[in-house]
Amino acid sequence: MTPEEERALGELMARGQRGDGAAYERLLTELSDLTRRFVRRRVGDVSWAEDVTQEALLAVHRARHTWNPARPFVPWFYAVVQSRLIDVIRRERRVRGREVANETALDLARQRAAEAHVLAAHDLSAAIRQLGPTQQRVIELLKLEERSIRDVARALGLSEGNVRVIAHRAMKALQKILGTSGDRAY
Amino acid sequence: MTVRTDDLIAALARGLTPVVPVATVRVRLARWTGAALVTLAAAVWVVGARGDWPAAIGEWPVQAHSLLLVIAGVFGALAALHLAVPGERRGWSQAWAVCAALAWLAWLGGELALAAGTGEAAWRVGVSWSCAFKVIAAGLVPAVVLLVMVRRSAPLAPRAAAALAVLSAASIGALGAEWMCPNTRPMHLLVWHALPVVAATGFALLIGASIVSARAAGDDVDLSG
Repeated sequence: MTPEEERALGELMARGQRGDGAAYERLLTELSDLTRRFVRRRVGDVSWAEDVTQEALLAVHRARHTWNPARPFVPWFYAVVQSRLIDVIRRERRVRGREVANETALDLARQRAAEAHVLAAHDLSAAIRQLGPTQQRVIELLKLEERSIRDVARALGLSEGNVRVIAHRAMKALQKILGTSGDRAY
Repeated sequence: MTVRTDDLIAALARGLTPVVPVATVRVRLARWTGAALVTLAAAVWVVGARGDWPAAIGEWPVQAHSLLLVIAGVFGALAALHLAVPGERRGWSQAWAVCAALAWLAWLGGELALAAGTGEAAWRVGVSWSCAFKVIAAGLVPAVVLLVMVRRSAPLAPRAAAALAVLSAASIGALGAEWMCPNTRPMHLLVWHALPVVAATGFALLIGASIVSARAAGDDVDLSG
């Protein structure tokens, strides 16, 4: 930036301090371009460059009374932009950190659910193996293969009522086995 | 942000109000120093100077304490005012303030170490809330004045600005307490003169940012068009 351009920006800011809206609009437009270039130079092309630009413009607006017209404008302006850039970088890091933490927590929850599922299946298989042979067969056909009572009765050569009684007793026995031998909550 | 930058610029220009540029850091430091001196004098006058006043000011430990506290007070205020204006940050003013405050604490620690050689009585400390009150009495107005000055500017590092402002004012308070309290025992000075300064500065580090970074009234931006 040439000294003339720096002086021109200072002049626009001085007019802005006096309430000249048109000069102020021109100044902010120029400053938005300068801010974008500054951000690109410092951190490259980032998705949040426009956030920095807008926050810098707001900060310039709120701090405009602290610029002394007798002093150069550009160092004042870049101090504001630098501070906003640092704040936005910190915020982005926090957001990214939270996103990573959320993803990690979700992965962990999925992994735990899968482990619990495997453990539950393992416990159930072990419990079924403790049942009598007929009860085991009834449970396998009725609950695991999801066949109807009529099919199970036909397959095992039993009456439907008998299958119901065996299934009921087998379920009671399974509840007892899982309730007393397992200390996991499913 | 979901606002377009062009819309933001138009809104800022549309709602623009004239502003009076704040006075330079030097001018504001001079104003604050004046306010601090008046408060200090008033506090000493109201509470009363220490009984051995004319003689005490000639003693070199009192002179050393006073000099270090004046440096911490003035440079702390200067550093806080520097931090309150974008582009004015000066590392040397912060360094002078912090180093002077630490030197004062180290000096008191050294006096305590010397006194400890004379017996266990050096470690004894009585209750003296009146001295903590004297620190507050002499430091409160300078603290409020300086925090208002910082708040009315635009501190880009509000936490540091608030902490330095409070360190500065509390140093003036401790200076006032030194001139009002005749107790020269190092343990008393450390607990009832220095500890309030450290506590106030620590407190400002914790909550000071919210005090000085509040937005100036009427500066909300209307984006409704």
